[in-house]
Amino acid sequence: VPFGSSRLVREGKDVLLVAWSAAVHLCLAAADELAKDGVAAAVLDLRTLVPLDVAGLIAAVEKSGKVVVVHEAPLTGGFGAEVVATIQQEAFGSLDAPVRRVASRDTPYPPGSLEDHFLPTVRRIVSATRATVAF
Amino acid sequence: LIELLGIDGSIRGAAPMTSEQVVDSLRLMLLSRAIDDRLIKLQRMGRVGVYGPVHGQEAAVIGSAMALDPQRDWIVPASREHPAMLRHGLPLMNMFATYMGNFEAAAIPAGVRLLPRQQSIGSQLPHAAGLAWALKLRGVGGVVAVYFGEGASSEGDFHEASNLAGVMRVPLVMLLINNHYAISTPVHRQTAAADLAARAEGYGFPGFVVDGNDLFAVYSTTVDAVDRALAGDGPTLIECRTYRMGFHNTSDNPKEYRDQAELDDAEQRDPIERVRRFATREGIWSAAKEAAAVDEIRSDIEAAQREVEELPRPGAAAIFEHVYETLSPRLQQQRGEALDDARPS
Repeated sequence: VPFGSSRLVREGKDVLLVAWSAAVHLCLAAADELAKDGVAAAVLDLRTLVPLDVAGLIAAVEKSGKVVVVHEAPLTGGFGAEVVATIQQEAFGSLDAPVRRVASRDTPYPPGSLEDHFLPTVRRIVSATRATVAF
Repeated sequence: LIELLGIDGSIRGAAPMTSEQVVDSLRLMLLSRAIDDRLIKLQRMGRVGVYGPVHGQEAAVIGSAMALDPQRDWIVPASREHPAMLRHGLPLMNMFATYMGNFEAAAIPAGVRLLPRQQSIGSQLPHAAGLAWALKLRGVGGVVAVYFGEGASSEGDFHEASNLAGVMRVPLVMLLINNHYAISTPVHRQTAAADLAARAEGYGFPGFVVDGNDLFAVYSTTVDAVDRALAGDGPTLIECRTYRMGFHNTSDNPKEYRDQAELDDAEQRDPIERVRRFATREGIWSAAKEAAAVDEIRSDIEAAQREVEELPRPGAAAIFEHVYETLSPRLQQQRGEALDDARPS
């Protein structure tokens, strides 16, 4: 994988899901789910965060103007905030909805039996994406 | 190397424990092995996440714990010292709840002088040095016993904690459980040092090497260290040389990295067997007493497990508890979302 090179894993005209690592697989499952309702979600895998592929990110954002950022790290202070700040600075004019984030809760990591309440899930991504598309 | 109890159950000099203490220790050792057996089975059934057995290290863990006063002293454990935690006052049910993922029921009851298990290697050591320093500053008496492995003794936290404990002369007993493997890394690949207890000298306090499979050697060396700490003479490092007879934990397969011959040799030095031989020779233990103890242990374990199984499982709300007295607006919002998401759709 070249540094600073994102990959558009799935095309979709209605909304862009931005993720990396394990969250990419959740986004792909969420995109399948959304397709059943006729929502075409693109999925961008950032692949490397430092350096960040700003040009690739902005090009993908501009296609639909609606974005959801998903990561497994807790919400507050997560790298998703950096992604959103970059999007608003570089592609403000293209945005048609506020950028949403789906992330882990701002709590200590729970025991395995409670992981699904802590980590982002397909269901949470689908619900955030629907709200973004409907904005 | 400090040794008191021979493999055949013979003893050098007088036993450092009373008959009652020997029987209590032996019962704890049997309990420890029965817990290993039960929790490994529950893990294989998918009812326990992960478990690291004590198997082989019972004398090191229990001999040291027996030298502590639960009303006065603190234990700061690593991850394989639950028999010491039980002896110090942790109810068996709470221990089972820990491994069965019911973290609310796993809480250490108020007044029990234990810090939680520490899975992250070595990070409990600075906490233990700080706790011991606090006991000294407050003048409340008591000592802190901290457990860690030979792998942890290669980490920065060990050296920082040792230095602080030495210079502040805090009442700390550092129990280095050298089980010869840091997961799969053998001790000779861990360090070039032949003698880990020698590390204490660099920080200005004494270090001792004991046969960690010898209940009496571990106990009497720990008693001396506790006495020194209570007298204001500062920390002691005790390297308990033992052997991890089981796997690192249920995610590990030691056959990948060690020979059967090594395990066979360790079985000859089984820490429980030599106490059993000693106690039998002294007339304070018998096959009938052992059978009764094993029955009692089985029913205690059954009861603890059943109690945990009958408790309500913690739900989504539980992950937001126990950190903040009052949740911030953002956390309140996240809690609301988590509760909504947890409802069946």
